Amino acid sequence: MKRGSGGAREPGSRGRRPVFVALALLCAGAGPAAAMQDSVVRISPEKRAPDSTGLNVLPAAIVQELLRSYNDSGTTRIVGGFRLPAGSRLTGPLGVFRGSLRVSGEVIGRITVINGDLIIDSGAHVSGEMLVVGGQILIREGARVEGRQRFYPVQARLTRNGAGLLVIPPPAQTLGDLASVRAPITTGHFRTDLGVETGRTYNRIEGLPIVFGPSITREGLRDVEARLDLRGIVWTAPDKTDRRSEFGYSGRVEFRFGVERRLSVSGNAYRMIAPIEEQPLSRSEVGWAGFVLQRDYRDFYQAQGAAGHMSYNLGSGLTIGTSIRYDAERSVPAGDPISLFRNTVWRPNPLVDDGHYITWRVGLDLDTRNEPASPTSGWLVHTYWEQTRSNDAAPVSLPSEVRNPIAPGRYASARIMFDARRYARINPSVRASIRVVGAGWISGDPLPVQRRLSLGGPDILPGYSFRSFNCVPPSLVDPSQPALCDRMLATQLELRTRTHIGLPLSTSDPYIGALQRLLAIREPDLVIFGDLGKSWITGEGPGRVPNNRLPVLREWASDVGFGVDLGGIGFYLAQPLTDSRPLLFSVRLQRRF
Amino acid sequence: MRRLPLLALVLGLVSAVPVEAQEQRVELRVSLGPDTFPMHARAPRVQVRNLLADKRWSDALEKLFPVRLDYRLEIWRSREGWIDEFQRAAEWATVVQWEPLQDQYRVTLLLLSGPQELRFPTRDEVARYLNYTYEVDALPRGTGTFYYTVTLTITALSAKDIEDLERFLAGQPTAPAGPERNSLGRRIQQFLLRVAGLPWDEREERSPPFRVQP
Repeated sequence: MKRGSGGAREPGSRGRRPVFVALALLCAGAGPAAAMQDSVVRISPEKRAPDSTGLNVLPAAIVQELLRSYNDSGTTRIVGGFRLPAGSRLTGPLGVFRGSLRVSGEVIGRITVINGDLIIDSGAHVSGEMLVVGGQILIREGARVEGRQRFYPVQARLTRNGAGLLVIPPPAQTLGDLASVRAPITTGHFRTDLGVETGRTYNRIEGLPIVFGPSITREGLRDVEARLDLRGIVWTAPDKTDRRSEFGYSGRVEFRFGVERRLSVSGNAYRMIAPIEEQPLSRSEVGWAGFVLQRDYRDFYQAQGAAGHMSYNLGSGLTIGTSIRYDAERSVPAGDPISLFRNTVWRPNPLVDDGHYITWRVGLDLDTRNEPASPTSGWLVHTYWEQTRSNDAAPVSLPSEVRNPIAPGRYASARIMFDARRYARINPSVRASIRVVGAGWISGDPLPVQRRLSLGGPDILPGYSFRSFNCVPPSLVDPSQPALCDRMLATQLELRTRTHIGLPLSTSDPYIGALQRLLAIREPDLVIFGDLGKSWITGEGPGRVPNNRLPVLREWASDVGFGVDLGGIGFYLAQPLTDSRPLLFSVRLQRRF
Repeated sequence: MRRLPLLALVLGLVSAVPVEAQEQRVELRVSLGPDTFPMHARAPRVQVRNLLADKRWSDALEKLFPVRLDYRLEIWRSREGWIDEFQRAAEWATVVQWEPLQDQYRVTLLLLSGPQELRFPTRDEVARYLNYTYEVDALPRGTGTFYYTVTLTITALSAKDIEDLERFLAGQPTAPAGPERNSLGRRIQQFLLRVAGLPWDEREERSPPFRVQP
């Protein structure tokens, strides 16, 4: 296409015409069209607008003037680019929104251009006040212009309502979470979001949790921002016992201080169903596995109490934080929510050490990944130290191989957790990821059941089935397969390369197209991985590892495998390297780590 | 989560579709510009081919869904066999839209410096423009062996995205419809697009390596 290959096209015209100019808005000829003649368009994606620092706020008086001028009943309003051809004459006020006005003819009256340029061609005549916002005024040589000219490069934050009039829009919404409905209400500096959404999981305790309530944000202050979140939680799985409460809730107030909002202080009160371990699968994967296959890969307890948090963002992706919470933790039984393909009996939910606990945590997070969704470079580190105390705990009776007897009413223990991931590109075609994850007891009394650990399952050791290493001694027969280990340490290595095997298929078949869309199929990554891990009981005695030692390497479980990551779904085969176990196949709905 | 038959099902579906696999598909090409910069640095050139020849995207346009192309260019320094160094990334986006009332195509380039808009009266002309090559003004810093990777995500915009885009074009700075939208938002958008039945695609290519030296 050549620039200037024909006459101008006016908005609103219908039907095909042989030649038209494609250009509607370009910045002084430096934009894409200038380079189109040689089929190479030069762009500068890192260049910011020169006016984006000092002039990024349009004076309120100008905004009001725009509204008055454009919404005036006598104004001829145009949306989009418009050209007044040579020989044409327009009398009266003219308003153009979100487009450029090019005058080749004659305009007698006030001109208001909002978020576009005003271009006055040679031979054109304009008589009247000219106000351009979000653009500039370009007057070609030979044009005749009479009247005051003003322009502001910064764009106006205006939008059209149903009647075609300009209004100041409410604050922008971000895309909400899946299966959520939100309604924003803005009153002065307060913004309220009313929302209803799922808890983004499905499990045998809650069924499908429905979460609803308002979020109220105080905005517009320079040094502080306040936010209040109130949530009610409806658990759709019925509880036939009286162990679980009828509903959950959460109320949270947060203040963020500083111009960059680096310091955050918050407090909350809650009653919710909490997971015992954060693995072996993500929250959403656990939900799908439970809903489709009746396999719940997590255990839960009910927590009710209050907490306070404080964190500070040190910059460069580094955040430190501390929290303290006091809550009542108690066992809850498994319910019987429906499942899509299997409807037998759910795995029982293990008992925990019921009681009131004070938990103090200090944590550090680092995130330097170049792209959180699909990183190829950087670090992701999550780590914390946590101390737990209780004066009224009622410990579950466990075999002495797992835990020495504890007198009721006394618990004080500490544990740590770390999960460090490094993403790197080895060469142009191969990407590598390594992860070291560990957690466990470090001091005090033995850990409560709800702070204990296990290994085995699709996340860390996919060659081994769920809870293969949960430290349950042979003397304990418990169908709930509880996680009873004191410590866990594992490392994962993964190499991946992008393949070009023609996926997703370009097909007009609606069913295959829908399947590809549902699974977010993209060009697959071929993944080769290896994992090594061990979980154990610490302390003195048979079958235990002394507190200051790591298990010998020959006792560790390891596997190797390969798979394909298609984007929204991945298929993996893993071969355990110990115990002569069979090859295991697993499906993941997200990247492994 | 272990289901060997699932793999067989997916492989079966893949192998059962030979006919449509012959249709033209979107291609992403990444090459290097001419050796005209100091120290032999080479600018990346990015080209998308066959966008409107691909039925998924031409159908989406005809159904009045704007098609959005999100580009992410990464600059990498090769360390000759050791872990390569990620230097930085640049992002931009292009939105293609058919305006039936005016019977024209609108192409909006979303850059940090602001949106740039082009209009085309015919499908052939917009298709020709979309096949043009972007030469990206993003050169590596320092010396060594470098290469570029480009990830292209193509989506058909939902009504909400259209609204966001309108706001962005209207200059509302708190409505990021451009490449600055956060990744979580993008992932959710992709899932919503999948559920809504709109197409979604992702491509990744890399350039040949080149050497920057004094």
